[in-house]
Amino acid sequence: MKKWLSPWTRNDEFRCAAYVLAVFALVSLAGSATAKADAPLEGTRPAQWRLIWTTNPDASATLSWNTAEPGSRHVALLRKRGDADQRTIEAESGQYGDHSVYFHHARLTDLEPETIYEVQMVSDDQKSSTFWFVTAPTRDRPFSLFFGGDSRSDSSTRRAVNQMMAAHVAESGSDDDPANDVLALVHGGDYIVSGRNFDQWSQWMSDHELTVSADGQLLPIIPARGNHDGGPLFDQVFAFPEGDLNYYTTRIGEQLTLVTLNSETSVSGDQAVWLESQLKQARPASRWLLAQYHRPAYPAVKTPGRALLYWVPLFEKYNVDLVCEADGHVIKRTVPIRDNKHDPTGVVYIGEGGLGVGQRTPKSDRWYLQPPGMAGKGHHVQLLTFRSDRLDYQCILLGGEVADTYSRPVREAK
Amino acid sequence: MPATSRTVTTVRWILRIVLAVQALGLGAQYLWSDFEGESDIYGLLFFDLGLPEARALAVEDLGTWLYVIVGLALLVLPLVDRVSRPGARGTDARGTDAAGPGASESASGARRWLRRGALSLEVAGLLWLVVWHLAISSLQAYRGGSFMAEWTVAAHAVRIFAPLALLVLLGSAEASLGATRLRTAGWILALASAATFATHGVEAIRQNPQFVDLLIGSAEHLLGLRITQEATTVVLWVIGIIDLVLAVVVPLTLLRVLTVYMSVWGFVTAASRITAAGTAGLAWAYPDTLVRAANGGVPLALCVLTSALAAEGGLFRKTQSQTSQSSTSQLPTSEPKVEKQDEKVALPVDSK
Repeated sequence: MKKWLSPWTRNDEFRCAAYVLAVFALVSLAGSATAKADAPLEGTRPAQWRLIWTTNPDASATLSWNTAEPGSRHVALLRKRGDADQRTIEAESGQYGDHSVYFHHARLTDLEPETIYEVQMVSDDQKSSTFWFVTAPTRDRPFSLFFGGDSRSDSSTRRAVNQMMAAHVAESGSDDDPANDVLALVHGGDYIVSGRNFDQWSQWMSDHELTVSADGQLLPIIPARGNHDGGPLFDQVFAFPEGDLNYYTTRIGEQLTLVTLNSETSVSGDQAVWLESQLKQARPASRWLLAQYHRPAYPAVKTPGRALLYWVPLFEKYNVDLVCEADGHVIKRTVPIRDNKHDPTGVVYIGEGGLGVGQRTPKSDRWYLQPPGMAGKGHHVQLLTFRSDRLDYQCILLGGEVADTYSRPVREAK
Repeated sequence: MPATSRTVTTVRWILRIVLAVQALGLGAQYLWSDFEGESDIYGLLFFDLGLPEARALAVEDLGTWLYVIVGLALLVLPLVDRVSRPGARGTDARGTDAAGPGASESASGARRWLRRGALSLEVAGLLWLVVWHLAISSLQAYRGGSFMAEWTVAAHAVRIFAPLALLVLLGSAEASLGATRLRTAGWILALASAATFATHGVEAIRQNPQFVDLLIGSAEHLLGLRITQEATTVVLWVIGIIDLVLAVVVPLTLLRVLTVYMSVWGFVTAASRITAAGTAGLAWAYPDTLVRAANGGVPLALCVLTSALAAEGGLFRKTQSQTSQSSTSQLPTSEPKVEKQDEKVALPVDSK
């Protein structure tokens, strides 16, 4: 034993302390990985575009793009399809940290509901192609939304899922059933591995371009912050004010209230108070009440998030219909849950993230994943179709196969 | 048994119990609780390196089971020393077997091998605890995904370095323990406590949202009070400043009252995982509490060790006796002759 411990007995205490500190330093230094970005950014040519929805998608949206050089003037050219009148909207610009890439956010306001708008991004003398998007409706009509999360880690799979979504939007938008119109992608967070790594964000934004359909339709994104999205870049990418709390409510007509929560900040404090106020307002007003956030209250692989303690009681109190969660890298749909038990009047939790990240095996033995619930694996996006009498859910795998379906009727008014 | 030996024995047992509880917590987190999950070792192997999932899980499970077994074995291995040392049942005080001198020689050899084997297992086991927890923590820092993830190794310092402190303190209670080893163990315990408290202090000042929820949840479940987030901001600032001050002052002064505070606070914060979750969350919160046993346990070990360290002049100063002797100077022993005989096999396994 003495022999084995001889270095300790020979060295004095300062050597020991130095050794301990050296281990700390080495391990700390190991935490700085980088990823290669291949975004096509040149000069002031607009690139990496995305359309962001937050609170009033029937009347507003934010069109964001990036340039490699700061430029001097950045505007969005906006007009209703078929109109000659064109609005010029000045963009707010800034720099991503100390990276030589610049963001531009054009706040599109005073839009008309359920209207096609054509947009072009202009940075100095460089113009983008013309894209188009549709604002959210205010009238009572059926529509669809995509939900997905965890597009991190694997760019090639992420691109494939993005292309699949773009193709689906184009195809379903061209048929006669308005219920098939996909209005937006609700993203449950974890876009990339490291939220402070701009190269990874740059890659994500380039890949996100692939959600644009072949004829130029932009798919709006309703973003939630994930546990891998820490730091200021998330706000800059999605045009939130610096230090924003990243929770907000999106209303689509009288049909839907979607509450986007931030599971990466305190869930019990101000956010819980705010959530209750939102649900209280929404329940009598909206036919469908949904919430989305990153860390699951009813996880398929991990430990429950703090949402279980502070948000779930509110979801049950106000009879939320569906809660969209991410983070686990699996497919899941729970049984309806109330008071931590299977209850047909309860809340159904779906999601867990499959927009690109590697898929793992769910822990299917958990009680809330038993039939009629479901758990599985595979890259996927989840399609929610809101009708006047029911909410239809499909889990679409990469390749188009439907892995899971579910319907729930409108709750009876109390 | 001299006072210093008793102190060291107590510290060893504190560390053994802490490591056993910590191992149970880790096992519950990654192996057997209702909501067991996977660590970043699995994450690295499966997501980052592309190992098949079953293999990544097997590596993680194997490492964690080994961790649990070692943690529990730390409570049992001292018994090997107890039954095999001279004076144990069936031997006289010199280790002579009651059956006679011939039998005595072979029995003595067997005992030596038994003790040597137990020691080897203990040393290897403790190193495994360091390596495995360091791997978990450093990969958590590397892979990110939590508040101040890059600080994880420092935050987990008490968990990682508690086995190292025990390794340094290994030795028969009556056997010699160099003053340098005593001081080295003191440094490890003090620096580990300081690193953990400093990191938690910074997290508190930066308003770690989990800390906010722990405060609000614990106040609600324990006191029936609904405190606002605004109030927690002030409380966390105060907690953070105290933690930072302790992290600096304790290694420099080794004031016992401060180490007592650190220990109590460490246990309180570990328990807050359960108190914040309440009875509804007990099933998934208890592993988080167990795995944090070292938050209070390591400062407690340091607290108990302070008297022995004081006798040696503290962490910094060398005593006159030490400077006049070699670094392998001996602490007082109750049975010097017997121990001198035992020094040949140098079996540093605990005894009471």
